[in-house]
Amino acid sequence: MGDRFHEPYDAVLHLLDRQVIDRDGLLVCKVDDLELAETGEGALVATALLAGSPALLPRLGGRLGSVVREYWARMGDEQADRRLPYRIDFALVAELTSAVTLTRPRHGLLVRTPGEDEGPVRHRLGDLLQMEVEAPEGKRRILDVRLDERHRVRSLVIGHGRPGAMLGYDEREGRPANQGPALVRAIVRALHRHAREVPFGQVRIDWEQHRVRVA
Amino acid sequence: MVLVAIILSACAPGTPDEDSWRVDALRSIGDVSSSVSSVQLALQHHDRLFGPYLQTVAVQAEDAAGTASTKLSAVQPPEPYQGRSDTVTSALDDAESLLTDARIAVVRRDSAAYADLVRRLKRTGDRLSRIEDRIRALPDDRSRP
Amino acid sequence: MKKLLNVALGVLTAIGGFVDIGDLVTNAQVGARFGLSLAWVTLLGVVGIIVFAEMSGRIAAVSGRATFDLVRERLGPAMGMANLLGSMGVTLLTYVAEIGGVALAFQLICGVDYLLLFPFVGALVWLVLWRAKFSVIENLFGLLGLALIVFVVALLKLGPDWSQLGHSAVSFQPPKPEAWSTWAYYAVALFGAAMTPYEVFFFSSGGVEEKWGVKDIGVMRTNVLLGFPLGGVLSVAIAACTYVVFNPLSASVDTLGQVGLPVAIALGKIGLAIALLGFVAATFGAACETGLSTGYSIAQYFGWQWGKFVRTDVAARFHLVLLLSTVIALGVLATGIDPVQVTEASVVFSALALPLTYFPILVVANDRDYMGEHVNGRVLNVLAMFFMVVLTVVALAAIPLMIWTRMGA
Repeated sequence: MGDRFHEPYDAVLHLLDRQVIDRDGLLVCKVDDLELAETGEGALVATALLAGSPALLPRLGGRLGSVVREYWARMGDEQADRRLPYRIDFALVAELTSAVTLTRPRHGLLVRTPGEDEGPVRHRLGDLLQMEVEAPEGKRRILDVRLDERHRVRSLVIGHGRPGAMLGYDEREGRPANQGPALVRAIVRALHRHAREVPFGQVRIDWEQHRVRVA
Repeated sequence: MVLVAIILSACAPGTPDEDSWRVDALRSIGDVSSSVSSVQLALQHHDRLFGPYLQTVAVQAEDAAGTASTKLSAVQPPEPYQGRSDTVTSALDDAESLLTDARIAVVRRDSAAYADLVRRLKRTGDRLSRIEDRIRALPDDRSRP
Repeated sequence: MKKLLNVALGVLTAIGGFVDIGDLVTNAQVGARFGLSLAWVTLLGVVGIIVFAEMSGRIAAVSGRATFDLVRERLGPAMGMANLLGSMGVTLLTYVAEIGGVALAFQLICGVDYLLLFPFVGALVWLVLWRAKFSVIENLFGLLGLALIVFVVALLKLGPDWSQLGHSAVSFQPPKPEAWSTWAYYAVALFGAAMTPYEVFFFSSGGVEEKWGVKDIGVMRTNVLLGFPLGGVLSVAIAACTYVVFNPLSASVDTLGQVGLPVAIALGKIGLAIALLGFVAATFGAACETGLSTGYSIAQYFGWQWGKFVRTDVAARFHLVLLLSTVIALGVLATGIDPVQVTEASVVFSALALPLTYFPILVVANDRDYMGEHVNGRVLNVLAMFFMVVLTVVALAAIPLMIWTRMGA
């Protein structure tokens, strides 16, 4: 399998929840979440892998996610960085195959994300994936987020179901058209027949209200 | 899921009634007679078994029979079954004490006694299976016997 | 010899899956009560686990990812967590039973009550998991477990009425006076015993431990095609042996001591000694398999370093999980619960958890992104889809049947 990190890829299908491996082949963590930074031009670009319980627990979803996260934080009430996940900058990533390989050994690798007030405005992919989408055709969910080779968000795939529910069976260039088994492919495609790709330009994200509007 | 499980368990057969005693009795007799047969088999072939092995089989059979007959004695038999219940209980008690005798002989390595024990175990096994047949033959519905 | 040792992983996995303590007793029980009328379930289970293990082994060889990595990648963190809790529950229950099973096997050898033995057995299992090399575990217990072939020899020596056995095997209905529901319950239990999730966790993680690459796919297939059918043959032989000996007495089989009786009757003390060796090796091997699987699945979900191919301090969290699992298992055993009954329950729950583990493997085994040219072929996919359906049906039927028949009583 070739390196996917330097070509367009789907954030959920190809990157999220994959194993992170250090230079020497030792296991580091999972890609529990991705950091998305706002650029000046209104674009959104993925800048780092996030890891650790503060990144994983909110992704358990909905009410359960926030409750578990709250309990996790309370278990170390005195720790200032209890809610901050570990961060691995994209600069450390060597390649993305069935795992994410880093350019460094794992010893002392993980550091917490800096607090809110430094640098550009940062978000988490996990938060974006849980937002409700108001599209012209009705309420939808985000199934995946497509990034270009420089990790800028290029488009969203919206439809019914949960992130990653297409399991790689969607029809488009770059994916094998006949990924088997035929029955699973037919069912997944039928379930997601209304799913569509929306260019990022048509999307307005309201991070405060947890809502995405599609023009 | 849990709800479904609870609802389904409410439908499970064997809520306490006449049939339930019959089912419990059959199960206990079956368990005890299995223990009796196993020990009989083990004693018959005692020269092919290691001492500790034979002892373990005897001890576990005695335990299992004890558990089974205790379980049944805790079930209140319905009025019309009282007579049969006494027959069953006394047969199970006899079997249990026979298994105890067998265990004592095995632990003492008293192989001279084995032949006699095998005969008694066989007789007890036959008696239990006759009782089992009679209870099984009782009408399945809840009409009085 | 090297070639022979290459298939040890498959043999150990299969022995742990097919003839661990619960299966030894369940197979014997089924044999005594139903003859060979459920042998087709074992056959179905063997084919199913071959398909499942081949796919996960191939994924491990090609992409280096073990089963639980893929469960989380394809099901997401929430469903993956639900699956983790379910699978961990089943695996831990089995681990409890296996440690108890080793103690029960030792009780048959030395006559000391297993309740006095199990703490030492637990400590020994943990020591092996901590110190012994992976290859030692798989070769030693896999090969010693082969001693259970003595059941096949015993069956031949007992000289059963083969036509009656054959008739029983193709009757596809419960013998009198057993009820259909009980028969169906044992069918589910046998199927769940053949296709347990931890077998696949162990097999695919074992492949990673052995550093399988694309060139080892052949070795992996040999493992699968030799190991699992062997496990199936042993299960059927045990069922047939107890059928021949216990069915005429219409006695049921509930203890390990009874399981060994047919071998003693047929082959005398030497046969019995070999069977006892087999009992100890199979249950000890299964204890290692399930113990390691608890560590594998948790570590793979959270992305921790796991495995015995690195120093223990490098995979510290993994070894901590193994230690805690062992402590929990000993705690459960200390309540005096019957280890055999524990596995009987756990195989039914494993039938319930299985589809959620099987599905991600099926999807990834077809994904060219992971597999390149080594994706499933058409024939394999038809077979794999058939088992997807079977697994779903079995999972849906498992709990209602368990409640309805009061665990096959």
